[in-house]
Amino acid sequence: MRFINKVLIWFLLPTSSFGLSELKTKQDITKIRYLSNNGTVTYYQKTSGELQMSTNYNFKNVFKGSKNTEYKVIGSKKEQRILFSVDEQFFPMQNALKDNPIYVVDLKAKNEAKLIGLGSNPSLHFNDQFASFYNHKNKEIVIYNFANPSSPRNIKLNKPFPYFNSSQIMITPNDIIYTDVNRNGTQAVLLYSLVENKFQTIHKSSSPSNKLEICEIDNKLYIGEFPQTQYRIESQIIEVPLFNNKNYLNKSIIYSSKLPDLGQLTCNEKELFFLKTQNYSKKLNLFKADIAKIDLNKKETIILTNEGDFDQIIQLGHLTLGYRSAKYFIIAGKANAFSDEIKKALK
Amino acid sequence: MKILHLFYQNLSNKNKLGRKFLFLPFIFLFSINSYSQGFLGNLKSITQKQIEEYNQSLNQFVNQSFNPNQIKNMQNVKLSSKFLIFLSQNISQNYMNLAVNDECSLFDLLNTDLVNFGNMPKKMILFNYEDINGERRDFALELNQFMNQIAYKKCPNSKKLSKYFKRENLRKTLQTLKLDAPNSIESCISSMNEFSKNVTTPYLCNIIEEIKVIKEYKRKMSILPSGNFEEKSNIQLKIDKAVSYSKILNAKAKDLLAGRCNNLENKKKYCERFFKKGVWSSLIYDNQSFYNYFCQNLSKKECLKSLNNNDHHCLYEGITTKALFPQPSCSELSIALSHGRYKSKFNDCPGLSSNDALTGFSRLLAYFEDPKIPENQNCDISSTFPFIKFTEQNTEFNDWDVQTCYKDPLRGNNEFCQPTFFGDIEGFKPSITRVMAEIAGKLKGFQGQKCKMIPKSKYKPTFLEYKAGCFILTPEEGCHGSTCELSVILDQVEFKNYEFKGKLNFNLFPVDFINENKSLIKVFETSKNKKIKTIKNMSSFLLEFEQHKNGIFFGMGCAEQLLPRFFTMKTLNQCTPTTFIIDGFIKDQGMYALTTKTSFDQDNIARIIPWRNISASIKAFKNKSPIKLWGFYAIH
Repeated sequence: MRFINKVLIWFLLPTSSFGLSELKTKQDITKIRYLSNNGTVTYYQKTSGELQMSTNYNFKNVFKGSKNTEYKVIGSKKEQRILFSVDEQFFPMQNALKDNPIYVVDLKAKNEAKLIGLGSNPSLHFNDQFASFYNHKNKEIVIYNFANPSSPRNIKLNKPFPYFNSSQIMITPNDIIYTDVNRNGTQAVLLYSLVENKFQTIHKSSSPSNKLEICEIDNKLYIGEFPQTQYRIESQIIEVPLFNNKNYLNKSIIYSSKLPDLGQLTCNEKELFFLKTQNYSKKLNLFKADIAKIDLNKKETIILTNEGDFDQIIQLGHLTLGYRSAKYFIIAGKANAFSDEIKKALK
Repeated sequence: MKILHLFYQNLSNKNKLGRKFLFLPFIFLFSINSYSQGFLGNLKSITQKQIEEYNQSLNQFVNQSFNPNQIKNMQNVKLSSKFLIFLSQNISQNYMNLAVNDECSLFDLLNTDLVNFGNMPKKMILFNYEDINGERRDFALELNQFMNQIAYKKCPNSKKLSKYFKRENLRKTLQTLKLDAPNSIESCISSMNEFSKNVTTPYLCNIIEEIKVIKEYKRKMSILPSGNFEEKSNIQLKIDKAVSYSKILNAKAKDLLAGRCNNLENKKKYCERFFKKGVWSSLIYDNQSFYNYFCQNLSKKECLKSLNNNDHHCLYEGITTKALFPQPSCSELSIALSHGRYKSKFNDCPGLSSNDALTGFSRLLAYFEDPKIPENQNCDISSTFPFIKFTEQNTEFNDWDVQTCYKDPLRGNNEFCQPTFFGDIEGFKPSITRVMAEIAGKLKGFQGQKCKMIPKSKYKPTFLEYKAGCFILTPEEGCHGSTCELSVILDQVEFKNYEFKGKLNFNLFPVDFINENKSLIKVFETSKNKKIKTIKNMSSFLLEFEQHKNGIFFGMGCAEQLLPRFFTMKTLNQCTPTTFIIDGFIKDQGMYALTTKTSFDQDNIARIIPWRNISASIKAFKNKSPIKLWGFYAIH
């Protein structure tokens, strides 16, 4: 078991957020829902209800909803497909447990958006060959195989708590890793075999007040365990090899902290990112969170920012973004949104 | 009580300046006592000497007669500095606070036994006056004489006040006493400040002190030699008096008064301590919904013990799991609840309400007006009933679009719909029990006024009681605000000739300028005659919070910024809207956190959320709003 407790801080960069660039876009950034990996395609929503895709000097309607429709657009590193959910009742029907229509757009085929189901929290898996989302009404994860769209698979969750958000990762076309919670509030990371219809527990949270977050890099699963209340405030990240690891007994803690990290574990091909709490006031429940990176080769935790008020990290394809004060900062990857190169018009 | 109150106002207005001036040496002495520990030793030796001098100086006035007509101007009569020094040594520092308001408050204090005259044979008061020849003279009178000849003339209302607390009037006086347990640290400190200034306080604390020593008197009695009749009789009188006091006040009033009287000097610490230990006790014993929610299977005593000792008790405990979990730990929750002014009135279940804005808005309605939700109703009713009542009264159900529809063969098979809510409230027409009975009556000739609503699992068709009649069988998890997967059994046959239509769609906050006045918050403002003010920063929050003691704060934001430990962003500009009520704040080193009830949490739950997160959340929602609305208001 290797323990990373060495934290490097980049003190040398004098500018705010250690010189991180703010994500700048030509359109009003509050309207943008997705930026492609090469930065040339933007998905944005209009107040009139359309979801549009634009390249330089051209645009195309992807979906037409009613006025004030709210869209969530999800891509992936492979960017073969795009998923989006449509909430036409965002203002008059505010419900975090709402199952909204989820559509897919095949970027290569450039066909029309196709409805794949009702749910929330959609994601793409395994080179965009699969999609998964959660259906609140039936309390199940739906796994949608684009090669076999007529037979989606379902995994019923324990999920006695309605606002619990399950995360999913497909590690093979037949195996899905996901998070669930039992009635006592203990969260667990489980592996479900779609072939054998069997579950296997990979990890259980050490406290009922902790949440579990998952990420996969290079056949290794990383599990972040972060507190949600003041009951237990320690944080840790665990590394679990996914193959040649019988009953997943081989685990190692690669990061731990006595402070309640905000978490939001996310990853690109080689690095883990999360929000690390630098200062914590228990009285005010006030945490100063900065973006930290774990370099898995060097086994080091590096603090990337110094503002102390980051709320979220988003993995947008290749782009890792930090969210702070209604602004997005580029943590990793390149955003080519400034290119004015005239591209071939879209059909 | 009203008279007492007027009296207090009179006191405050009339005698302040002159009396405070007179009282300055006294205050000065105590200032030194409080802050200069090193100097205190010398001061004590000086005052001890002065006390001896004081006792000696009294002797010259014993058996001398005093003619009040010799006093040139009653307002120039002053208590002697020697007496003030004596007093300072013979009254607890705690009760000294009651004497510093003005001179009359000191006279009120002298009227009680809170001042210890020690071994003095008579309670003598030394004072100084200007005689008719313009010369200043000292004189000492026995306490009763002093009160009648000097004090009551200077402070006539003190005489009236003392009458109210005479033994024969005490019961009547105390019946008018209103003592509410504080519901927050802020209200506790505020009521402690008022208490220390109230003219009745010396008398009330005197009662508490007398009650406190009943045991001591009884012990003394038991060890007195059998022949000491006079002493025994004196003690017995004191015991009788104290016991009669004790009978007039109930246990809760005694506890509260004792707490206040004993902590006049340490208001803040007392309030913090009171809430740390007392918040659970007050919630368990005074708030049935809280007890039901947290300790359904425990006695009140066991519940209290568990909440105090098991921090994890609060994480997942609750009669329903239809809310955001984990809840805050018990210690976190007790702090949040003790700082807030919102008192939960019901157990709701946000996960079933169908619309998070409805959850928050119903709580807002309930804060200002008790919705009077009957007991033994499903938890979803707590959100839907206040809301549908509001729409019935103000928008003729325009914002309540949940309806039961049926086709009437007698009226050309046309469809008719009735506003419906999935509860059973006596006399309330949209109750599903009445709506369904009416439809069953029209279509199947059912004669009853209403159907009976029972959980599906309790319906036993073989039982006699279910052989005839109309039964609405509800799902185990309960109904949602706008839908319910129920079934209707009419004389043992399922009745299906109806359809639920509509959704709970409404705009709580305006989304365009044209229909701004139709948004529910605007309808609420005009129909309930409330003042709503936009709050943009912490300064204006604090100002409103201080100015309007019954005011509350209501807002709408994105959960990803409000509760980032629970809601994570997967894509750009993701926002899960939530309404929230804010009812208190905590300050530490110039930073603020607010006690917040989100629309995902059960009504009994409050979370401590830093202002930074709250403002970020409102800002994120503002970016979503088509009219860029900053949705955070003070409402009073």
